Amino acid sequence: MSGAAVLQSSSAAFPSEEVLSVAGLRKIFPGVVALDGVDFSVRRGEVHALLGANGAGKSTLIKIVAGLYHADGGEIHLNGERVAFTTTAEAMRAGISVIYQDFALVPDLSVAENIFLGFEKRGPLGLIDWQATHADARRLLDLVGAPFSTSKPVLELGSGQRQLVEIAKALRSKAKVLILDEPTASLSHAESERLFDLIHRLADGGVGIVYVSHRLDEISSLVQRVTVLRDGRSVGTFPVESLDRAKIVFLITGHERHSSRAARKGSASDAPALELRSLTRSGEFEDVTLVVRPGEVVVLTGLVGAGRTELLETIFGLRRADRGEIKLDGKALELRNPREAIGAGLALIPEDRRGQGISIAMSVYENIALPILGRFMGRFGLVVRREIAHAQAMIERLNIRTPDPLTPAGALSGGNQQKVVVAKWLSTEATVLLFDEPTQGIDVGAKDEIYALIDRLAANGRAVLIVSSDLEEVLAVADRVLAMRAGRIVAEFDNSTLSASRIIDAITNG
Amino acid sequence: MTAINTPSVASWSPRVDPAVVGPGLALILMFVVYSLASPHFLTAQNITNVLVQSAPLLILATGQTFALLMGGLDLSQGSIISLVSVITAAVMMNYGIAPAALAGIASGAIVGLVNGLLIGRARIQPFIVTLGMLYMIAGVALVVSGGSTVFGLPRPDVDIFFWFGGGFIGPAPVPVIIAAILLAVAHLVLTRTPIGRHVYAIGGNEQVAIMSGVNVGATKVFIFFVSGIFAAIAGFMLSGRVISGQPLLGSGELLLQSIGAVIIGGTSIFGGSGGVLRTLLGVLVIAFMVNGLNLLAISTFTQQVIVGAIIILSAWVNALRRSR
Repeated sequence: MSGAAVLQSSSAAFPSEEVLSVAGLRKIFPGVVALDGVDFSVRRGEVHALLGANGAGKSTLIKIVAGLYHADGGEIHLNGERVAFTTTAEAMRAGISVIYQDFALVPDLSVAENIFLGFEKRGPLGLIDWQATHADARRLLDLVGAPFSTSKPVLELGSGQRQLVEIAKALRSKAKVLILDEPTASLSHAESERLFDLIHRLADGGVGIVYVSHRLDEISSLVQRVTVLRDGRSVGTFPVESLDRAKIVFLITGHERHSSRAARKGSASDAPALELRSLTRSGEFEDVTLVVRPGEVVVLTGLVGAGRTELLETIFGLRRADRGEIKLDGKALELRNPREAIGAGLALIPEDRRGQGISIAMSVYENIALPILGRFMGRFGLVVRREIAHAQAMIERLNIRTPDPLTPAGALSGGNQQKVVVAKWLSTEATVLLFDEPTQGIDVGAKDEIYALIDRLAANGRAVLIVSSDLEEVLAVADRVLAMRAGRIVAEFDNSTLSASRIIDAITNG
Repeated sequence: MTAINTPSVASWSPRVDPAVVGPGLALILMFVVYSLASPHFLTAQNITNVLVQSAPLLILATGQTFALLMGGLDLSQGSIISLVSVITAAVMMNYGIAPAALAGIASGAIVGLVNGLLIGRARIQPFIVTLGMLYMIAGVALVVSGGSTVFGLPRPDVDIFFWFGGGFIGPAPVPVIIAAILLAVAHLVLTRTPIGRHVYAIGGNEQVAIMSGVNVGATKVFIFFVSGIFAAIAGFMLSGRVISGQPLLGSGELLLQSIGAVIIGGTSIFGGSGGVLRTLLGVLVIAFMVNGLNLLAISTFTQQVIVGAIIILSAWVNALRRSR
């Protein structure tokens, strides 16, 4: 790649001087050990890749270094001095800049206002010096190769352009360490190339760069060293020359695992319960054709931004497809909203649990009963006693840990909240269940229970379509796996061809 | 559903709503203090008076509770009262009480329906829709009446009209009976019907409601229709008490009292939690507070300061309760 020559010189210019080092870092969330003694260091002028599967602890590590989370153990040194940031502003002032995967921009504010948000340039009387703000913003945009105006509101920008604003914002103050979390996920090829150039230039200037990515093809030409995390521990740090693709995949997954679960009763001869034909929503997903049969668990996997959530929401009537067909039990559907989707026998367990899945203010029983209130009508209206009894039965069936059905759902742990969402949809007796990242952010015990539940659902003849980025999960539950990349299905694996390395290969090879 | 296991059902018992403790204690405290301070407070005559006077506010605030429960607000209630007042009186002049009642209450119901359609179907913010409607309907009431009070309603219609605002059935005041019935109906709708539960679901998390198959648009139309029709009934009752059609009848502090009563009762302004029984408590707090201060000869100016302080205090108590 273009920066390869520069890269050699940069590592020579600052020999082995560690700008950031992390030792024995621990972080425990309720029910999960996110980091279990992580060691990691970046040298001045180095580009260092941080790799790992979802849930390996990359994001947690970054957030601790950035002052967003507090470590439960371990040390962080910046330029040889021990630091422990309590706020992100402190970390920024110390010279740590982070570009997060999910944008931290205010849509209604201009590019320049966003870049200097919280660090406004002031003139006399403490008023904002707009001239200096725009001039400096312009300089930063030029640096990252963004041609658009500094006074443009961010909401008018595409996601690639927003990413460039994020990068400009990170360069606002003089960074000693720049951390990029999957920066190319939303960038075009040309924009990525420009970003790599910039990364090389910054490294030449002595900045230590931490580069988090799932795209293994980017790594070899961009970085000098690679650190791999797995299950909250560092597997090791390696010079990039010593690694090839197969080795990296092995380090990330820990083993070459094949699905060992017995095939379910769903067979190719059954009529499909859910069928998509050339379903398209431009900009989100293209030409998606798939079938899910009764008793079958199909997993759609891919990277963030591959269009999977949008696909599920379209099936569920939250979005309208531009083209293509959705068939349920052979009948073509024209769903205008989730209400019609539910009526047709669909259920969606959404990724954004607190935003879309449960109402934290409502009690457990009210959440579970919401889609099926009609069933609890007595002669004088709703019979709360019956709702509670139903919730109680679901609580026992799914082993939901809650003091009682009247507890507000928000008081439960993440895993139990997720089980409440599942309970809600099991109650509807839908024939096709759509799960979006069903175990994201929940602990291992609850994960296994959800997997067992999905197993039982399939065994009872329901068709299950799951979106998941978690490789372990994909291997644990899938009868078939469809790999999505940039809105298209690019590969299909069944029980005999399924393996972690094949999936990683399919979703990252662009 | 058939798997109703008895122990779990038996273990369920209605709990004391912690939100009513604050206003409940305030009410009790007021009764004690006022009874000691004034010999005129704890008399059947006085209590009946307060209840009659607060009946329209209770009806208004009960309707307002629906709007607040979904996280909205109905600012058009006061203007609906004015509109209903002048339309009822104008129609009564020529056609008598029955058509007048029908036309008056229908006019308020229509305003509520339009509010609902603009909020539920056109998806405009409740605050903006009802603020605009506050102005428009206040204007319509003035246009219909030519800006002046409609006097001299025909007999015997006017007597029946007054009966709704100040009559008695035996010892029971008619406005109190009507308010109690409407309160009971509203309570049953909110606690015993799916649409009532949907009101809470939208207020709690609208996105979750959509994803759960709730017809959010229709529910919002219903909410503002209820608020409108309740305001219309309150307007009819108030006009009956003054036996005339007054274009400025609802332009005073009634609207603010209605919102204040709901908040004092402990219904969350963000929606999702609360209910009309809490609102009843809020209305009683305001009504008896004002009554007691009157008996103690404290000026209405000072009373305003106190009522305002109580609204803020009750919101503060709720905030503290939630943060625990």
